[in-house]
Amino acid sequence: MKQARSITSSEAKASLGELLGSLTTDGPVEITRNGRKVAVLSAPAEQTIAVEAARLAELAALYANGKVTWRQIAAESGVTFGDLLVELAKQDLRLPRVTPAKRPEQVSMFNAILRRASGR
Amino acid sequence: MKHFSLIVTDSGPLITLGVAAALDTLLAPKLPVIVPDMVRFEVIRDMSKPGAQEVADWIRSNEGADLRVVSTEIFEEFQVLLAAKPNTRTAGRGEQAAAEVLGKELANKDHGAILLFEDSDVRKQNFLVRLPDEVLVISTSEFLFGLERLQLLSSADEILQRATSIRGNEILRRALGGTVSDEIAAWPTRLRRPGS
Repeated sequence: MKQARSITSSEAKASLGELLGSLTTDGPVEITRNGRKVAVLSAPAEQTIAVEAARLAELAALYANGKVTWRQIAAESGVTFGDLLVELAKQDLRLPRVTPAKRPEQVSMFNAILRRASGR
Repeated sequence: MKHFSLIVTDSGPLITLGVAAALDTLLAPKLPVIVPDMVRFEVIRDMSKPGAQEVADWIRSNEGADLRVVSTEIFEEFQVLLAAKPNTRTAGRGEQAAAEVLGKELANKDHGAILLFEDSDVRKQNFLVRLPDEVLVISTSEFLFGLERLQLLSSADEILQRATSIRGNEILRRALGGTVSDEIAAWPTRLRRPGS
Protein backbone atom coordinates (compact mmCIF):
# COMPACT_ATOMS: atom_id res chain seq x y z
CA MET A 1 0.00 0.00 0.00
CA LYS A 2 1.24 3.47 -0.88
CA GLN A 3 2.23 5.95 1.83
CA ALA A 4 -0.26 8.82 1.98
CA ARG A 5 1.03 12.11 0.64
CA SER A 6 0.63 15.17 2.77
CA ILE A 7 -0.36 18.70 1.72
CA THR A 8 -1.77 21.77 3.42
CA SER A 9 -5.42 22.78 3.14
CA SER A 10 -4.42 25.84 1.06
CA GLU A 11 -2.55 23.66 -1.42
CA ALA A 12 -5.51 21.26 -1.55
CA LYS A 13 -7.88 24.14 -2.34
CA ALA A 14 -5.61 25.41 -5.10
CA SER A 15 -5.11 22.03 -6.79
CA LEU A 16 -8.25 20.05 -6.02
CA GLY A 17 -8.89 18.92 -9.61
CA GLU A 18 -5.35 17.67 -10.03
CA LEU A 19 -5.49 15.95 -6.64
CA LEU A 20 -8.72 14.12 -7.44
CA GLY A 21 -7.22 12.87 -10.69
CA SER A 22 -4.18 11.49 -8.92
CA LEU A 23 -5.94 9.49 -6.20
CA THR A 24 -6.22 6.20 -8.12
CA THR A 25 -2.64 6.31 -9.36
CA ASP A 26 -0.77 7.96 -6.48
CA GLY A 27 -2.92 6.94 -3.51
CA PRO A 28 -4.55 8.95 -0.72
CA VAL A 29 -3.60 12.45 0.37
CA GLU A 30 -3.46 13.71 3.94
CA ILE A 31 -4.60 17.30 4.31
CA THR A 32 -3.14 19.35 7.14
CA ARG A 33 -4.16 22.66 8.68
CA ASN A 34 -1.81 24.53 11.00
CA GLY A 35 0.51 21.52 10.94
CA ARG A 36 -2.14 19.03 12.08
CA LYS A 37 -3.77 16.32 9.99
CA VAL A 38 -7.44 17.23 9.48
CA ALA A 39 -8.54 14.99 6.59
CA VAL A 40 -7.56 12.16 4.26
CA LEU A 41 -8.66 12.26 0.64
CA SER A 42 -8.80 8.87 -1.04
CA ALA A 43 -10.31 7.09 -4.06
CA PRO A 44 -13.39 4.95 -3.40
CA ALA A 45 -12.56 1.42 -2.30
CA GLU A 46 -14.23 -0.08 -5.40
CA GLN A 47 -11.64 1.46 -7.71
CA THR A 48 -8.79 -0.05 -5.73
CA ILE A 49 -10.55 -3.40 -5.72
CA ALA A 50 -11.11 -3.23 -9.48
CA VAL A 51 -7.39 -2.73 -10.12
CA GLU A 52 -6.51 -5.55 -7.75
CA ALA A 53 -9.11 -7.81 -9.33
CA ALA A 54 -7.64 -7.30 -12.79
CA ARG A 55 -4.17 -8.15 -11.56
CA LEU A 56 -5.43 -11.12 -9.56
CA ALA A 57 -7.16 -12.45 -12.68
CA GLU A 58 -3.85 -12.22 -14.54
CA LEU A 59 -1.94 -13.89 -11.70
CA ALA A 60 -4.47 -16.71 -11.43
CA ALA A 61 -4.05 -17.51 -15.13
CA LEU A 62 -0.26 -17.51 -14.76
CA TYR A 63 -0.55 -19.72 -11.69
CA ALA A 64 -2.77 -22.26 -13.43
CA ASN A 65 -0.21 -22.44 -16.24
CA GLY A 66 2.70 -22.97 -13.84
CA LYS A 67 4.28 -19.57 -14.52
CA VAL A 68 4.08 -18.19 -10.98
CA THR A 69 3.88 -19.87 -7.59
CA TRP A 70 1.33 -19.33 -4.87
CA ARG A 71 4.05 -17.80 -2.69
CA GLN A 72 4.85 -15.21 -5.37
CA ILE A 73 1.17 -14.31 -5.68
CA ALA A 74 0.81 -13.94 -1.93
CA ALA A 75 3.90 -11.75 -1.74
CA GLU A 76 2.72 -9.45 -4.51
CA SER A 77 -0.99 -9.20 -3.79
CA GLY A 78 -1.54 -10.22 -0.17
CA VAL A 79 -4.58 -12.29 -1.18
CA THR A 80 -5.45 -15.52 0.60
CA PHE A 81 -5.34 -18.93 -1.04
CA GLY A 82 -9.15 -18.93 -0.85
CA ASP A 83 -9.24 -15.74 -2.95
CA LEU A 84 -7.04 -17.47 -5.50
CA LEU A 85 -9.35 -20.49 -5.67
CA VAL A 86 -12.30 -18.17 -6.28
CA GLU A 87 -10.43 -16.46 -9.11
CA LEU A 88 -9.54 -19.82 -10.65
CA ALA A 89 -13.21 -20.80 -10.41
CA LYS A 90 -14.30 -17.56 -12.09
CA GLN A 91 -12.03 -18.27 -15.04
CA ASP A 92 -12.76 -22.00 -15.05
CA LEU A 93 -9.07 -22.72 -14.43
CA ARG A 94 -7.61 -25.71 -12.60
CA LEU A 95 -5.05 -26.05 -9.84
CA PRO A 96 -1.53 -26.85 -11.04
CA ARG A 97 -0.29 -30.36 -10.29
CA VAL A 98 3.33 -30.88 -9.41
CA THR A 99 5.07 -34.03 -8.25
CA PRO A 100 8.41 -33.26 -6.63
CA ALA A 101 11.33 -35.50 -7.52
CA LYS A 102 12.09 -38.29 -5.07
CA ARG A 103 14.67 -40.96 -4.64
CA PRO A 104 13.29 -44.49 -5.22
CA GLU A 105 13.61 -45.33 -1.52
CA GLN A 106 11.48 -42.29 -0.67
CA VAL A 107 8.78 -43.38 -3.10
CA SER A 108 8.83 -46.82 -1.48
CA MET A 109 8.57 -45.25 1.96
CA PHE A 110 5.56 -43.14 0.95
CA ASN A 111 3.84 -46.15 -0.58
CA ALA A 112 4.60 -48.23 2.52
CA ILE A 113 3.01 -45.58 4.76
CA LEU A 114 -0.13 -45.50 2.64
CA ARG A 115 -0.27 -49.30 2.33
CA ARG A 116 -0.10 -49.59 6.09
CA ALA A 117 -3.00 -47.13 6.40
CA SER A 118 -5.05 -49.07 3.86
CA GLY A 119 -4.39 -52.34 5.69
CA ARG A 120 -2.73 -53.94 2.64
CA MET B 1 9.44 -48.37 10.22
CA LYS B 2 9.93 -44.94 11.75
CA HIS B 3 7.08 -42.98 13.31
CA PHE B 4 5.96 -40.49 10.71
CA SER B 5 3.95 -37.30 11.09
CA LEU B 6 2.23 -35.32 8.36
CA ILE B 7 3.23 -31.66 8.65
CA VAL B 8 1.15 -29.11 6.76
CA THR B 9 3.55 -26.40 5.61
CA ASP B 10 1.20 -23.79 4.27
CA SER B 11 -2.40 -22.61 4.12
CA GLY B 12 -2.71 -23.84 0.50
CA PRO B 13 -3.37 -27.54 1.14
CA LEU B 14 -5.76 -26.79 4.01
CA ILE B 15 -7.79 -24.26 2.05
CA THR B 16 -7.86 -26.45 -1.06
CA LEU B 17 -9.20 -29.39 0.93
CA GLY B 18 -11.50 -27.13 2.96
CA VAL B 19 -13.13 -25.64 -0.13
CA ALA B 20 -13.39 -29.12 -1.68
CA ALA B 21 -14.97 -30.50 1.53
CA ALA B 22 -12.18 -33.06 1.76
CA LEU B 23 -10.20 -32.16 4.88
CA ASP B 24 -10.67 -35.62 6.32
CA THR B 25 -8.37 -36.99 3.62
CA LEU B 26 -5.52 -35.61 5.74
CA LEU B 27 -6.41 -38.20 8.36
CA ALA B 28 -6.59 -41.08 5.88
CA PRO B 29 -2.90 -42.11 6.13
CA LYS B 30 -3.50 -42.61 9.87
CA LEU B 31 -0.51 -40.48 10.77
CA PRO B 32 -0.48 -37.71 13.38
CA VAL B 33 -1.25 -34.48 11.49
CA ILE B 34 0.64 -31.38 12.61
CA VAL B 35 -0.48 -27.87 11.76
CA PRO B 36 2.02 -25.22 12.89
CA ASP B 37 0.28 -22.36 14.75
CA MET B 38 1.57 -19.94 12.12
CA VAL B 39 -0.12 -21.93 9.34
CA ARG B 40 -3.39 -22.03 11.26
CA PHE B 41 -3.16 -18.27 11.70
CA GLU B 42 -2.61 -17.81 7.95
CA VAL B 43 -5.86 -19.66 7.36
CA ILE B 44 -8.07 -18.13 10.03
CA ARG B 45 -6.74 -14.57 10.00
CA ASP B 46 -9.77 -13.53 7.99
CA MET B 47 -12.65 -15.88 8.67
CA SER B 48 -14.70 -14.39 5.86
CA LYS B 49 -12.32 -15.87 3.28
CA PRO B 50 -13.28 -19.03 1.38
CA GLY B 51 -12.38 -22.18 3.28
CA ALA B 52 -11.29 -20.42 6.49
CA GLN B 53 -14.38 -21.36 8.48
CA GLU B 54 -14.28 -24.96 7.25
CA VAL B 55 -10.63 -25.37 8.26
CA ALA B 56 -11.20 -23.74 11.65
CA ASP B 57 -14.15 -26.04 12.35
CA TRP B 58 -12.22 -29.10 11.19
CA ILE B 59 -9.24 -28.29 13.41
CA ARG B 60 -11.54 -27.72 16.37
CA SER B 61 -13.33 -31.04 15.75
CA ASN B 62 -10.20 -33.12 15.32
CA GLU B 63 -7.63 -31.55 17.60
CA GLY B 64 -6.26 -34.19 19.93
CA ALA B 65 -4.33 -37.36 19.26
CA ASP B 66 -4.83 -37.29 15.48
CA LEU B 67 -4.29 -33.59 14.92
CA ARG B 68 -2.04 -31.17 16.76
CA VAL B 69 -1.59 -27.44 16.37
CA VAL B 70 2.01 -26.91 17.39
CA SER B 71 3.39 -23.67 18.84
CA THR B 72 6.39 -22.13 17.14
CA GLU B 73 8.82 -19.29 17.86
CA ILE B 74 8.12 -18.00 14.36
CA PHE B 75 4.50 -17.34 15.32
CA GLU B 76 5.51 -15.79 18.64
CA GLU B 77 7.78 -13.36 16.80
CA PHE B 78 5.06 -12.67 14.27
CA GLN B 79 2.61 -11.78 17.03
CA VAL B 80 5.04 -9.15 18.29
CA LEU B 81 5.25 -7.69 14.80
CA LEU B 82 1.49 -7.84 14.48
CA ALA B 83 1.00 -5.87 17.68
CA ALA B 84 3.19 -3.10 16.27
CA LYS B 85 1.72 -3.22 12.76
CA PRO B 86 -1.65 -4.98 12.43
CA ASN B 87 -1.44 -5.35 8.64
CA THR B 88 1.86 -7.25 8.68
CA ARG B 89 1.77 -9.99 6.06
CA THR B 90 2.62 -13.55 6.98
CA ALA B 91 5.01 -13.74 3.97
CA GLY B 92 6.16 -17.34 3.97
CA ARG B 93 6.30 -17.62 7.73
CA GLY B 94 4.10 -20.72 7.58
CA GLU B 95 6.88 -22.63 5.86
CA GLN B 96 9.43 -21.30 8.34
CA ALA B 97 7.21 -22.48 11.18
CA ALA B 98 6.90 -25.88 9.49
CA ALA B 99 10.70 -26.10 9.30
CA GLU B 100 10.84 -25.34 13.03
CA VAL B 101 8.30 -28.09 13.75
CA LEU B 102 10.21 -30.49 11.52
CA GLY B 103 13.38 -29.86 13.51
CA LYS B 104 11.57 -30.73 16.73
CA GLU B 105 10.09 -33.90 15.24
CA LEU B 106 13.43 -35.11 13.92
CA ALA B 107 15.03 -34.54 17.32
CA ASN B 108 13.35 -37.85 18.15
CA LYS B 109 15.67 -40.37 16.52
CA ASP B 110 13.00 -42.80 15.38
CA HIS B 111 10.80 -40.09 13.84
CA GLY B 112 10.31 -39.05 10.25
CA ALA B 113 7.96 -36.63 8.56
CA ILE B 114 5.93 -36.01 5.45
CA LEU B 115 5.89 -32.34 4.51
CA LEU B 116 2.72 -31.40 2.67
CA PHE B 117 3.13 -28.47 0.28
CA GLU B 118 0.87 -26.56 -2.04
CA ASP B 119 1.73 -27.80 -5.56
CA SER B 120 3.27 -24.71 -7.15
CA ASP B 121 5.45 -23.97 -4.13
CA VAL B 122 6.99 -27.40 -3.99
CA ARG B 123 9.00 -26.51 -7.13
CA LYS B 124 10.93 -23.65 -5.63
CA GLN B 125 11.92 -25.14 -2.29
CA ASN B 126 15.69 -25.15 -2.61
CA PHE B 127 16.19 -26.37 0.93
CA LEU B 128 14.50 -29.65 0.04
CA VAL B 129 17.64 -31.14 -1.47
CA ARG B 130 19.28 -30.96 1.95
CA LEU B 131 16.53 -32.82 3.75
CA PRO B 132 17.36 -36.13 5.41
CA ASP B 133 16.09 -39.43 3.99
CA GLU B 134 13.36 -39.77 6.59
CA VAL B 135 11.65 -36.60 5.36
CA LEU B 136 9.30 -36.87 2.39
CA VAL B 137 8.12 -33.84 0.50
CA ILE B 138 4.81 -34.20 -1.27
CA SER B 139 2.42 -31.87 -3.02
CA THR B 140 -1.29 -31.77 -2.31
CA SER B 141 -2.17 -33.45 -5.61
CA GLU B 142 0.49 -36.14 -5.12
CA PHE B 143 -0.90 -36.82 -1.65
CA LEU B 144 -4.43 -37.22 -2.99
CA PHE B 145 -3.42 -39.41 -5.92
CA GLY B 146 -1.39 -41.57 -3.52
CA LEU B 147 -4.52 -42.09 -1.42
CA GLU B 148 -6.50 -42.91 -4.54
CA ARG B 149 -3.90 -45.46 -5.66
CA LEU B 150 -4.36 -47.32 -2.38
CA GLN B 151 -8.14 -46.88 -2.55
CA LEU B 152 -8.16 -44.65 0.50
CA LEU B 153 -10.33 -42.27 -1.51
CA SER B 154 -12.36 -42.69 -4.66
CA SER B 155 -11.15 -39.84 -6.86
CA ALA B 156 -8.30 -37.37 -6.30
CA ASP B 157 -9.18 -35.61 -9.53
CA GLU B 158 -12.72 -34.99 -8.34
CA ILE B 159 -11.45 -33.33 -5.15
CA LEU B 160 -8.98 -31.11 -7.00
CA GLN B 161 -11.63 -30.07 -9.50
CA ARG B 162 -14.15 -29.36 -6.75
CA ALA B 163 -11.71 -26.87 -5.19
CA THR B 164 -12.01 -24.59 -8.22
CA SER B 165 -15.40 -25.44 -9.59
CA ILE B 166 -18.42 -23.26 -8.93
CA ARG B 167 -20.90 -25.99 -9.81
CA GLY B 168 -22.28 -27.42 -6.63
CA ASN B 169 -19.69 -25.64 -4.48
CA GLU B 170 -21.53 -23.48 -1.99
CA ILE B 171 -18.31 -22.00 -0.54
CA LEU B 172 -17.15 -20.64 -3.89
CA ARG B 173 -20.63 -19.50 -4.85
CA ARG B 174 -20.94 -17.62 -1.59
CA ALA B 175 -17.57 -15.98 -2.19
CA LEU B 176 -18.75 -14.83 -5.58
CA GLY B 177 -21.75 -13.21 -3.95
CA GLY B 178 -24.22 -15.64 -5.41
CA THR B 179 -23.85 -14.02 -8.83
CA VAL B 180 -23.06 -17.25 -10.59
CA SER B 181 -25.72 -19.87 -10.32
CA ASP B 182 -25.40 -23.55 -11.04
CA GLU B 183 -27.67 -22.92 -14.00
CA ILE B 184 -25.21 -20.51 -15.60
CA ALA B 185 -22.25 -22.72 -14.73
CA ALA B 186 -24.03 -25.59 -16.48
CA TRP B 187 -24.51 -23.71 -19.77
CA PRO B 188 -21.47 -25.12 -21.58
CA THR B 189 -22.77 -28.63 -20.94
CA ARG B 190 -26.31 -27.76 -22.00
CA LEU B 191 -25.21 -26.00 -25.16
CA ARG B 192 -23.16 -28.99 -26.29
CA ARG B 193 -25.02 -30.89 -28.96
CA PRO B 194 -25.95 -34.48 -28.18
CA GLY B 195 -23.27 -36.80 -29.49
CA SER B 196 -20.69 -34.02 -29.99
